[in-house]
Parts: sequence; C-alpha cells; structure tokens
Amino acid sequence: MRRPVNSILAGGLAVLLSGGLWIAAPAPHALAGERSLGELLKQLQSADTLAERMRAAEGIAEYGPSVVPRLLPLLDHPDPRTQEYACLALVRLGPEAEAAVPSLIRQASRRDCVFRRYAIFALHQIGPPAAPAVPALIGVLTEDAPDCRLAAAEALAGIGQAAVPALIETLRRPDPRASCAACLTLQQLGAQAVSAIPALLEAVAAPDESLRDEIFMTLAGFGGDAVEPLARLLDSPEPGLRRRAALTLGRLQRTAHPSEAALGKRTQDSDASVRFWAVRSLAAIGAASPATRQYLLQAVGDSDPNVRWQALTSLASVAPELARQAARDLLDDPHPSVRKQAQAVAEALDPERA
Amino acid sequence: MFASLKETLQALLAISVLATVFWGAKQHSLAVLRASNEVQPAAGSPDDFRASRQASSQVAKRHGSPRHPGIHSRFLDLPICADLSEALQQMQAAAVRLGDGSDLYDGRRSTTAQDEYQAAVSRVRAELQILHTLVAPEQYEGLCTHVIERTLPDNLSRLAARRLVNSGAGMAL
Repeated sequence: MRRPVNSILAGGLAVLLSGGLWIAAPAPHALAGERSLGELLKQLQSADTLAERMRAAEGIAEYGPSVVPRLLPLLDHPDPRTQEYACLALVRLGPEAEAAVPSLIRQASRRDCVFRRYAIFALHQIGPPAAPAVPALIGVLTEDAPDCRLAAAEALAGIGQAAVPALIETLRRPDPRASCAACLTLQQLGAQAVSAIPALLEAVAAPDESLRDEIFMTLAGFGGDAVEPLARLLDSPEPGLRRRAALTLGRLQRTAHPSEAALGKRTQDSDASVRFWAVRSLAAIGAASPATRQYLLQAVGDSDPNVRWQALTSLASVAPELARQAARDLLDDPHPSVRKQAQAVAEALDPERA
Repeated sequence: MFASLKETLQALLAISVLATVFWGAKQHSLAVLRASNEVQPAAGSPDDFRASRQASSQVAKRHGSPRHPGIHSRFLDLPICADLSEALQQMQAAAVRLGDGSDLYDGRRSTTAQDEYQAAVSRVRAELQILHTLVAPEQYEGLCTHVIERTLPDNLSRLAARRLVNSGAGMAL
C-alpha cells in the first residue's frame, strides 16, 4: 500500500512545485518592466530615447491582438516617431495584428508616409490574412522606390498563393522593373507559383537582360514543372534564350533528366555559348545515355576551346572510360587551359600512366 | 523499515527529478521570451531593427546563397579566364606605353600607343562578352574581380579594368 501512496505524494508535490514555479514566473507583459499598457503607450509617445520607445513597442506587442485598436490611432499621430514605433509594435504582433490590415494598406499606399517600409513589413508579418493588401503592394512594385519595392515583393511572398494572379498580371505589363520585382516574389513562392509559367514564358521575349535572368532564375525554382517549357526554349531562334534555357536545366540537376535528348541536340548548336552550356548541363542532369556519350565525344573536338574544356570535364564525370582517351588526345591542344585540364583529367583517371 | 525508507527516498528522488524538469522547461521558455525581448531594445532604433530583420529576410537568404554562390574554383581554369587575363595584361602594357609616349615632341609615337591601347581595350571588352556567356549570371562579376586581381598588379590598372566590367561591356549581348 505504501508504494501508491508514495507515488501519489510524489505526483502531488510535483504538481504543487511546478504550479508554484508557474505562479512565481512573471506574466509575459511584466517582462517589459512591470508597466501597464497605458504606461507603455505613454512611453511610446513621449520617451526621450529611441531605445525606450522601442522597449515600449515590444512591451505593447506582448499584450496580443487586443492592443491593436489602441495602436491604430497612433499611426496618424502628429509625431512621426510615434507613428513609426506604433507600426513597429504591429510588426512585432505579426499575424495577431490582422485587424490592422486596412490601416496598414492605407499607410503602405501613401508615398509620403514616413514609416511606409514598416507598414509594408507589418503586412508581410501578418502573412496570408493580409491578402486584401495585394493590389496596394503590387502598386508599390511599379514605383521608383527600391527599398519599398523589395519590401513589397517580400510582403507579397508572405501573403502566398493569393498574390499569384496579381503577380502574373504584373509580368504582363511592359514594365521590366515591376516584372523583376514580381519575379523575386515568385522565386520565394517556388512551386506554389507554377501557374505563372506561361506568363514567364511570354515575358522572356522582352529584350531586358536583367529581367531575362530573373525569369530563368524563377523557372529554376519551379523544379520538374519547368523542365518541359525550358526544353522548348532550347529551340528558340535567339541564342541568348537557348543558352539560358540550357543553363537553367543544368541548375535543375537530375530533375531535368527528361531534357537529355533536347540538350544533346544543342551540343551541336551554331552558338558556342549554347554548346558550352548544353555540354555542361548534360553532366549536371546526370545524363549518361549512349547518345549523350557520343555528343560529348564529338564536343571534345569542338572549335571553341571553352567547349572542348567543358566537354572533357563533363565526359570525365559521365563516362570516365571515354574521357581517358579524350584527355590523351587533348594533351597537345592549342589552348594552354585545355592542355592543363587534359593533364588534370588524365592524372585523375589514370594516375600511374600520367 | 529499511524498505520503507528506500521507497520514500525513491519518491523524493522522483519529486526532485520532476521539479527539475518543470523548472527547466519554465526557465527555458522564460529565457526564450526574454531573449526575444532583449534583441530589439538592445538595438534601440528602427534602422537597427530593420537591419536585423533584413538579415533574416527571404530575399537576403536568396542573395546569400543561391544567387551568389562562391565562385567555383574550376571556373577560373576556363580557357576564357586565361584569354581575359592575357587581354588585361596587353591592356596594361599598352597603358604603360601610352604614358611613355605622351611626349609632346613625339606625336606619331603617341598616336600609335593610343591605337594600341584602344585595340587592347576592345579585346578586353570582347573577352568580357564571351565570359559573360560562359558563366552563370550571378558569378560573372565575382569571376571578373578574381581574374582582374590575379592578373593586374596595381590598383590603378585594376580600377581601369573594373570600369570596363561596370560599364556593362560583358552585358551587351
């Protein structure tokens, strides 16, 4: 009988002890210096130092969503610092500040708002419930304010899938700057944004080089869904697009294996940079079919030294037995870098003979 | 009697273990809470706040890893890097000759040096264009810097080469 009694005693004491510890622990808002909400709001508006105001903002945020109605009027306070720190308290509240979305949208849309970036960041922190802010944030993407544009791109990514249709619309506008920012958002959304692929393929026709790079970077984040469209771009009449498509397929690594045949064909492209990237990406995607080996062997004899260098490098990883002979053949290549690479490959594959 | 004492000791041990666990968990959560409070007040200004949040932002992560990966050392072995290096050396030599030939009494010599310098600059531009097509876009600038610093000995000639890179010589494709 004594054993259960002891167990009950042990359990009871443990509960009491833990309860005692819990009671002894301060409430979260007490960490802000045992100040009441009223005191903290006063400190936010009138403290002498910025650090004190920041502490007040932190303390206010610990009170949770119920504090939002008290903060909203401060966003229109005559003192810009009070506005700023009230907004930072909303940032700290994160998703709990959902009730502030309409006010934050209003502030984020005002070009003269001193805490505009923080208002945008607060929307970012709120996340999907800030979906009504999508049109305003898309508007910021088209503005000449790089900081705000970047913040808006992040906020849209925080909102998630609800932002994708508006981002697609932005890609279709003739504004490379806004399209680049839309791409940044889509890159963060990754596979959630695959519905943007057709719009990205349309936008790639734009002559803006930076936008093209961003578009291909975005496609690289879509994984397997991007392989087929990228393989189609390998047949584009523009060498710049064929080259970027080959590069991006390589970035997708083994996911892009279905593009092996299309990449193989591009090892015989009229443009040396396309041949170079096709040869490089074939190894990256793990291609090793007899046709690929043949393409790589032919590329070892390419007229461009960069392509020969890369073909030998790729062949060494795809078919070492073929690379051994190719390396020996390239030991007297006219370009010193190719000879050096041939020597390195020969030594790596056949250390004794080298 | 001994058995009873043993059981009591066991019970006390169990209590102390449980109490320690609860206390530890509580302290941990308080520490986390305090830490989250202390980070920002220590910063003290919205700009510090912004800096700290930017460090954790997704765009910062993007620029930190996939966008700007370290230059793969193998890229430096590409034939184009050797060609660019050679073109940079020619440009530097032509610049020296241009300085020597800027003698007012030897106008013809000066014109020849100028022509040579222009030709060397054109070759650097051409090599930059090729390099731009052969490396991933995010690696282009870093690789140019590597080749320039490896090839050119002084800051003045490096600056002249950097100007060519920054003027978008490699981007005009």
